[in-house]
Amino acid sequence: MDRRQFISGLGYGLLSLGLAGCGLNLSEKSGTAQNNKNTANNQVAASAASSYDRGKLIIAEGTDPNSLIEKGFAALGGIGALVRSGSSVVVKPNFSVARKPEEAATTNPQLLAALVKQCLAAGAKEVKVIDYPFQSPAVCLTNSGIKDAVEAVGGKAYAINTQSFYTQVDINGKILKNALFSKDVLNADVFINFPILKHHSITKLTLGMKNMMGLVWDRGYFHKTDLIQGIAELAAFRKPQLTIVDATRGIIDNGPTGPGTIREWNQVIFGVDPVAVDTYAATLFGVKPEEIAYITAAAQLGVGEMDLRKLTVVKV
Amino acid sequence: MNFKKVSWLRHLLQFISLLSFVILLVSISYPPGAENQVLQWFSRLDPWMLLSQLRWHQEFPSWAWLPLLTLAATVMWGRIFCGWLCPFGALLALTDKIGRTVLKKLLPTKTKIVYALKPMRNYWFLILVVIFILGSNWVFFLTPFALFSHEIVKILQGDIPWMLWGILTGTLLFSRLWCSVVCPTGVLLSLTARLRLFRYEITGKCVQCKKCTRICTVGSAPVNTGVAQDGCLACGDCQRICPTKAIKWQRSSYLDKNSQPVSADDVATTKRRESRRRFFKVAFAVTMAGILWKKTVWAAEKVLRPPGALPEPDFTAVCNRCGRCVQVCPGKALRPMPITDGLANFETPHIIPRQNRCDLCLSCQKVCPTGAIAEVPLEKIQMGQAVIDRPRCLAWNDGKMCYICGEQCPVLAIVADGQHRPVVLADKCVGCGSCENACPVDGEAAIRVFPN
Repeated sequence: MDRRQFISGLGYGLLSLGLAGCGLNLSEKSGTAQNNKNTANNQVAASAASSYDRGKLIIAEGTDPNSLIEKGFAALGGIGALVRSGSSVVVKPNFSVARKPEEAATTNPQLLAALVKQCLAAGAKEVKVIDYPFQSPAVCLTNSGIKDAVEAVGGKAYAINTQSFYTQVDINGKILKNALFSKDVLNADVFINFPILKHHSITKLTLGMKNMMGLVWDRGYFHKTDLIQGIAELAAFRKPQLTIVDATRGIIDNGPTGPGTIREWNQVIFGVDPVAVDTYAATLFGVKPEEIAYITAAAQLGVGEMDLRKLTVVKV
Repeated sequence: MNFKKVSWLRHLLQFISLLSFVILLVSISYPPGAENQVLQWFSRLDPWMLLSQLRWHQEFPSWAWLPLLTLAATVMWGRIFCGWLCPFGALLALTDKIGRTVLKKLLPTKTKIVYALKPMRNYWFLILVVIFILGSNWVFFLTPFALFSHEIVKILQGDIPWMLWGILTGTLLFSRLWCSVVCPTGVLLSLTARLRLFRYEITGKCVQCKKCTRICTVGSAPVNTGVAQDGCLACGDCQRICPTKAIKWQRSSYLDKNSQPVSADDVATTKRRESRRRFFKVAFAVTMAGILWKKTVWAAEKVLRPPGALPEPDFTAVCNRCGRCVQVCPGKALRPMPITDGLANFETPHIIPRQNRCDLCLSCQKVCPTGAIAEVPLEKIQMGQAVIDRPRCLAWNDGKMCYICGEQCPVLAIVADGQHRPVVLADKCVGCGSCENACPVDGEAAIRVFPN
């Protein structure tokens, strides 16, 4: 039983018994919850961690956003294994800059919409699409096309740009002892990281683990101390149940803000292991994964596997 | 004529005007859309808008027919714009109504004060015109669309709209003194209204009851002169209250007597002749004051202006401080300057990049009604220049892998040298302040934008 499942079970247990605030017999209440009508929800976390094979990477190829997402989940074993009826889903794309979809510096809004649709079809109670953009929320949400696309299919898209969206968490790293981390992610049943594959001026590439920085209030701290170690420790703190990399197209220079030269790969990468996903994406980009310092650092912290030979890569 | 119907129609128009103005202004947001267009056209009814365009842009705008329409209507019927359409006028009319109901005892004093101060408006107008010609837009700042708009924006920003409170209090005590004496649009239209073709005149038997004098909100009742004076808002209150039904809305009588249009205010005309000497003295004083004022205020420290802003001092001169740019700015980067930064800068928009960066969305250009923030494309924007303070920079001084300024620069004006140290490309930097805003150094940033 992992921490998230424990908290979720505890929450439902307390709720169902009407004993909010009572701290006694936690494990029993968690157990009780398994037997009530919320059983399905409590199994979400367990299945999220185990339903998809950690050692597997799914590469969906093509250009149609809906079919890319559908193919990917089908190959993973179906979205139903991850998103159960009534669960709340948080998706973290990259809309950190005020660029238009065609400028290829933000996650493709059509892919996001396809994902939101799938989650809702699988019975998700709500799908929140969040990021902490560099620029003002209105400009980033509008220009990236993400607000319109996500809201059109019934999701919510917003920027977590005030401190009230964050809560203090213990990270217990060398650099990050603690941090203000996104409440939305902490409270979610399912957390999907959905970065875009693009150039980054200082870390060479921005990928799944780098994308997680958008869930922390004080990013300046990373830059002030040790950016690479900070990213790795953050990756170790909270792993998404699934990372999907939008590698349909991205800028290959002038990142992360752009505008830059756009390259098309027409791929979407799905995987549970954040290190493995980033390793594959870096290779696709044409960079040796060892050159991306945060991938190496995260692998050293035991976040995931860097050796692609130990993974099953399935192309669909 | 059916008084009730006319009065009802006037109140309805005023209500719609007030409500729609407030709603339009509040709904301005990124990206600006139809609400902005409607508001632009609405505020172009003000003839000062045209004068300002002619003064600073030396071109006849395509929408010139709107202010000309207002002027034409004024030549026909007097200040119907002020009395029937002006949203701020509507608010003040409402306030005045409350003042008259609540503070009944003040009524005689109020009437005396309005009549006593009314002649002042000509001198005031002269001051405004002199300053306007010399190159400041204080006139414009006081026009209803600008003033009301920036006070609403102040409320929305959570600041105290002290000018609005002041004017409202003044209106409670002294009726529509603002509309008749202070408002530049009101005074300009008063002057135009001297030529008007239709007006209220006493045609029947006046019993000198002075009821019309007391009910007139702008001190223009026809009792002493036989005709409603040029400040008349054509509201019809005097006609309605007259016990002998002596007041009629009709073709101005001077048109019958004499084909040459002469001033309606014969009394005022003689007065003016007498005071010609005084007039010139005032003009001289105002000119001197204007010149001196010009010297002092533009010595103020430079600030970062919105993208596309005209170079100083034209910017402060053309800007009417309506606050729409402050309202639309999605990153809340544009803030009005406080009065402590000098009269010329007061309420003009500026950016403090350490607090909020400009996202270069250029919405402020779209909402600016005056052209003070010109429609300059992104490639040609020159707000300022970023300069790195190397001894304080984490990358230059501590060898940290920082480069957050370069990461966030939206125009690729910062490049990294071999050791990830940021270098500013002066020809590419537009001065948006993204770098200064993002710099993780405590206190003052290690990269700062200096206004151009």
